[in-house]
Amino acid sequence: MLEVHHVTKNYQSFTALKEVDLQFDHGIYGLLAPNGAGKTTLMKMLVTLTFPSDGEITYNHENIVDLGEEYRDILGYLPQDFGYYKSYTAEKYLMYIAALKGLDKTKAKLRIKELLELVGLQDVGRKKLKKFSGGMIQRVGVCQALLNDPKVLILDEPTAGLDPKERARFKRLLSTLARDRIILLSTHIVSDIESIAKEIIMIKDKRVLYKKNQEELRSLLEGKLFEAIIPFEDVEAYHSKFSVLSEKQEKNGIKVRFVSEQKGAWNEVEPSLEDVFLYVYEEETDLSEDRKHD
Amino acid sequence: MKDRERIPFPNDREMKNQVSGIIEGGLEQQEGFLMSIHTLLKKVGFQHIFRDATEILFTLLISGLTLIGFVILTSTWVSWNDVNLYAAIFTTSPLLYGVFVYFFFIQKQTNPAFDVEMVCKYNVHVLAAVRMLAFSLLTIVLNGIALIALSVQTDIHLLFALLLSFISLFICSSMFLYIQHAPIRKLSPISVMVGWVVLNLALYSIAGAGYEAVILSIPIYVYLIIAVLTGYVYIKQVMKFLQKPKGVPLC
Ligand SMILES: Nc1ncnc2c1ncn2[C@@H]1O[C@H](COP(=O)(O)OP(=O)(O)OP(=O)(O)O)[C@@H](O)[C@H]1O
Ligand SMILES: [Mg+2]
Repeated sequence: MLEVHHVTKNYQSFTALKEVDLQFDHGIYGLLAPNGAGKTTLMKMLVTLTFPSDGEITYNHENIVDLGEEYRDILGYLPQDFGYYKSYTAEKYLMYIAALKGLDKTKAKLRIKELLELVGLQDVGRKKLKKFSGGMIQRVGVCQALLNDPKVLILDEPTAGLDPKERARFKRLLSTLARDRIILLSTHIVSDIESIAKEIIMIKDKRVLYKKNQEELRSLLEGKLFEAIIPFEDVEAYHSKFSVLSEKQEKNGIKVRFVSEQKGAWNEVEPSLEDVFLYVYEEETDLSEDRKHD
Repeated sequence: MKDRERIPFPNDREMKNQVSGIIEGGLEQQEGFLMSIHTLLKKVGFQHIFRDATEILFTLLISGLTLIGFVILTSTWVSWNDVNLYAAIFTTSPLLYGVFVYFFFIQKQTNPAFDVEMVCKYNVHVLAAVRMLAFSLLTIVLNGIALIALSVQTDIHLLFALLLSFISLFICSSMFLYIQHAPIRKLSPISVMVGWVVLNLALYSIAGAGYEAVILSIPIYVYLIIAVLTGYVYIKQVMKFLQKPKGVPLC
């Protein structure tokens, strides 16, 4: 069990995260928050690349910094900007990381073959990484994180740069992995974690706003989400009256999807995770737009 | 008072068991220094610990050539016997090591795969112990060769020169390693190197002949003891890298 106890992280005078409390059991946890919310900061603390300014992080009740080598032994991490050696082949790079993870050479060879197949890179194992596309590199990154069959897997935007087919493959891979380990992944793409995440964590104003399962999150908007087709002139009015989550051009007007506390003559619709995300972080987008208008 | 339960005094056997239990529990299995190095070499492998071996050799070659060039150039206008060779040895011995630390330890943190490597079981810090040790061995060997070559041409006392070279190397390399864990990370190996040279030059120019006299008047066994002591401090500093890097401010 991985636990974050009251963690605050300051960068000089800037506070990136404040009094964060979290618990992770096995299963997939999705970290869903907009740019700059502190996802990477939280993950870097969870992998001991940086340390909390206050509070502590424990694994099975021991501080992860004190555990040191022991903790890193069960850890897999994919950084947001995944770095590699350009002149290495995929296999050579993975052999190198496997050695640093203390894997036995013959075991590592087998494991690498297995993993490259798992992410569909079996044919390019001998190719130099500088010839790889962005999405292929990202998949090599996933491989290196999985080398030591980690109990704690931290993935910082693992699906960035993957095409829809690879996304789907990755999603399947994650759900098979999740059975007996902790997986924490950050993303802005709601569909990446929809249906597979056990719980979704949302960070807002430097704090954890929600840590709930998808049902609970969707129920936040239950009975408040509507759709209506309105003439173009009315759009402004809707924007000022309601939280409009999306709008779509239709033949006979514009279809708006919005949140309203009172029921009206509109079509009530089932909220999706995306709706919740848009609604929760709506103010921030509004603010930035206000600034643009100024 | 009488109602208070009497605590039975433990007999010898019980005490012994308890004490050894406490000691075993309290002392985490701490591998010996050489054992840890051996495990690392076996588990990770030489070629992975020295992933950048070609760069290291290249740097070595360049610094070697620079040094030889410097010696040839200066020997045309300075006769070596006129210079205080011992002071020169004491001052210059750690420089090669400094070059290694500068290029192959600090650079590591800006390397593209740093985040991935740092999160591995045997991360940059653990491997650093082996690398630092190898660098110091290499420096000792190369300094040794240089001193032997020098002793053929001049009348320096070889053992004495070697001891001086060890001592200054250990002092400086302990400093290099210390600053890696020091709270102020702004201090770079360059500042240690420059500081060392400046300090010695200053001492030499202020004390002049006195400096030389002091160096020569101390008996050789004292140097031997100092060499062992500084060597011990150095090994202790290397050990720090093998242990849990608690509170090491890296980023
Ligand atoms: N090393 C640093 N020094 C100072 N400020 C930092 C540093 N790293 C991050 N920050 C700040 O902390 C905040 C959170 O950054 P973080 O990278 O954790 O966001 P994120 O949620 O990962 O964003 P993204 O979705 O863009 O990856 C940002 O405001 C950022 O400017
Ligand atoms: Mg990020």
